[in-house]
Amino acid sequence: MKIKKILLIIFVYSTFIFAMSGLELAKKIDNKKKPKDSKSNTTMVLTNKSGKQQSKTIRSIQKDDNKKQIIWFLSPARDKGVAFLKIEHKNKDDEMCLWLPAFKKIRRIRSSDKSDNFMGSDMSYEDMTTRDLDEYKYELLREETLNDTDLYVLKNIPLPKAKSTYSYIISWVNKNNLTIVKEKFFDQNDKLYKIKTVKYEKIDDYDTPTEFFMEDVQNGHNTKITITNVELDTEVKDYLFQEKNLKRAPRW
Amino acid sequence: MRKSQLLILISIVILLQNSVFALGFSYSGEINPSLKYQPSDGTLLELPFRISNIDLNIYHGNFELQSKVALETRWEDLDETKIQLRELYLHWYPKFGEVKIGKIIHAWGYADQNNPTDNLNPYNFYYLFDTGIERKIGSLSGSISVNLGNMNVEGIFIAEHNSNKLPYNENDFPIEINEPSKDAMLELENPYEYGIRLKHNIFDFDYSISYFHCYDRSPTILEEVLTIPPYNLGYRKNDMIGLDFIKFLGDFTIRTESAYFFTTNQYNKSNFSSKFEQDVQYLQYVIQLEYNTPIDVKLTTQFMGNYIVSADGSGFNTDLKNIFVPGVGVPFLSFVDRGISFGANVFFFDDRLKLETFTLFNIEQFDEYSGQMIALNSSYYFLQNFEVELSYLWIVGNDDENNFLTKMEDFSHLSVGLKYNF
Repeated sequence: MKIKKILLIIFVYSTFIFAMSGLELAKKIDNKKKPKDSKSNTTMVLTNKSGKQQSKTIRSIQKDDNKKQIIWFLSPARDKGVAFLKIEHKNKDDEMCLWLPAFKKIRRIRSSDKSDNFMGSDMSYEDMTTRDLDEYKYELLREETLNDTDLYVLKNIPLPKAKSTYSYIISWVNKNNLTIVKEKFFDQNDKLYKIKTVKYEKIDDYDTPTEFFMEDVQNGHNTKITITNVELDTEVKDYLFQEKNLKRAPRW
Repeated sequence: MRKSQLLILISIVILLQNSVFALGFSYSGEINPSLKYQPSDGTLLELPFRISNIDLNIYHGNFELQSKVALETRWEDLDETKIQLRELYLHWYPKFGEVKIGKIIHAWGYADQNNPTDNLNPYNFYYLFDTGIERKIGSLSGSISVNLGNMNVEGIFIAEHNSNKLPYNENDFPIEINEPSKDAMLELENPYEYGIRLKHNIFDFDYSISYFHCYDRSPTILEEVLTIPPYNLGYRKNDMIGLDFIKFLGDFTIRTESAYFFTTNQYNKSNFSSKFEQDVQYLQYVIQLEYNTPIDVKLTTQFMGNYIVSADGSGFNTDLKNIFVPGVGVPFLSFVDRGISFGANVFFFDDRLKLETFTLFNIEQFDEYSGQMIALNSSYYFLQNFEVELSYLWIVGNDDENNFLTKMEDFSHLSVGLKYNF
């Protein structure tokens, strides 16, 4: 009986400690040194269930931990000239708009369209948005070793204010550098929806993601994203994230 | 002498290094041969179409020289292929906003396709059933746009009056339009047009207020004379006050646009004419509702109307309200007083296949069927930059021969096209 009690206390305490550790880990990841801004070219290769592929390229600039982002579509030719601007806000809905050259109009889109796929890829607008620390609950599930890499396994549970399309996300975090190397996304029915793996390179002393592989396990579709021509901390000005700059050919 | 030559050469090299060699260049466009068939007898519609569109941009620093060139042809007369310079303007991006000058196609209004507040450019009626700026004609103009926090103010000046391009004397266009004699056209004294638009974002709510001073885009009979033809045509003066906004409500998006017009026959009466006085106020509105279904089908509906508030005039045999035709505003509302449209589009196979449907009902008479227009469009990317397009436009009128849709019934057609994007 006494042993049972001790085991119960250990279990309760360990759950408590792990829950705290989950938040602590999330805070550590969030506090990790990040570049103030970045510029890069991205190539996306979309592969459908039958293996048919198509590729798309974009030029993008980010600032403030991805909270400000401007993207110009470079290819395929039919999308050339289209551009996307996103500015995240703390206390109000995010601003998202598209420049549509065929209409010569900037079209505001709903931030609740987060579940929409970005450019037909397996990345949704939500997947491209930075997760706010206070919009999720965290649980440190366990520790693992995979391919000689020690990992934390962290469960991210979105709170209602996150307006997430996922019920929860499991992240595999490299213990050495606190980079997220793999994530599993679960839909509202708690079924596995997507798996993402990320490769990093050390650029200017930052662990910079240079390759993503996102697989939609429910429809067999996948997207490989390769990031090149990365420039970090180039003192990108705030006024770059203005609607007018969507209309310009990227030159930065 | 040699020294001065050397100096010139060095100057040119420095200039080239700092300008030409630093110039950026970008281009995009499409080659798009297409055929339009009348479904009744399978005959080819012999109307002009743009076989190619090219956008060329040259940029340096905060300046861009932007151009849009089209190649327009007719299948029956390929030798008559014309190059159209649709836009050519200098675009400057200073820190405070934007400045544009040249031949420009402008766009105002938050609604899609039908914009009562967007009267800045005339329409090319040959392309009236196309989308976006394909329907518009560039105007020699200048604009300045200034950002002030959450606010943007844009001023536009148009140096010349341009009228709609109408399909005059076209056998394959169902409504017969005869080109008016140049002698019967009254000249505009001050053909300048100008406007201002203020856009503001407040609490996730975007709205804009606009004013535009312009002249009719299509000619109207404005006076009776003793010569042949026994009337003169001209372009009435219009002042427009516009209001439009966007609001996101849960899964719905509302985009509305309204414009209140003051139309006057501003021409001075001559000694030998009898002027048709006109002083008309009318309202045009578009209410658009969008919804994205969970299965990624995008639904859009638009309710639009034209309401004549007051119509004072003289020289007419009937009440001006019954015969007044707006000279600006939404083209469709020049012919029909009320309409409702339903649209849906969906993508399949990684966005390769796009299916789109659009139905517009004429609801001038709520209690009786007045006709409809149905468009079914599909496009499929079979290779990275190659696309095949198939669409069908079906126009159905009623027994009323004066109904615009009854007149347009013969314009129903099947369209087949191949598009190469570059």
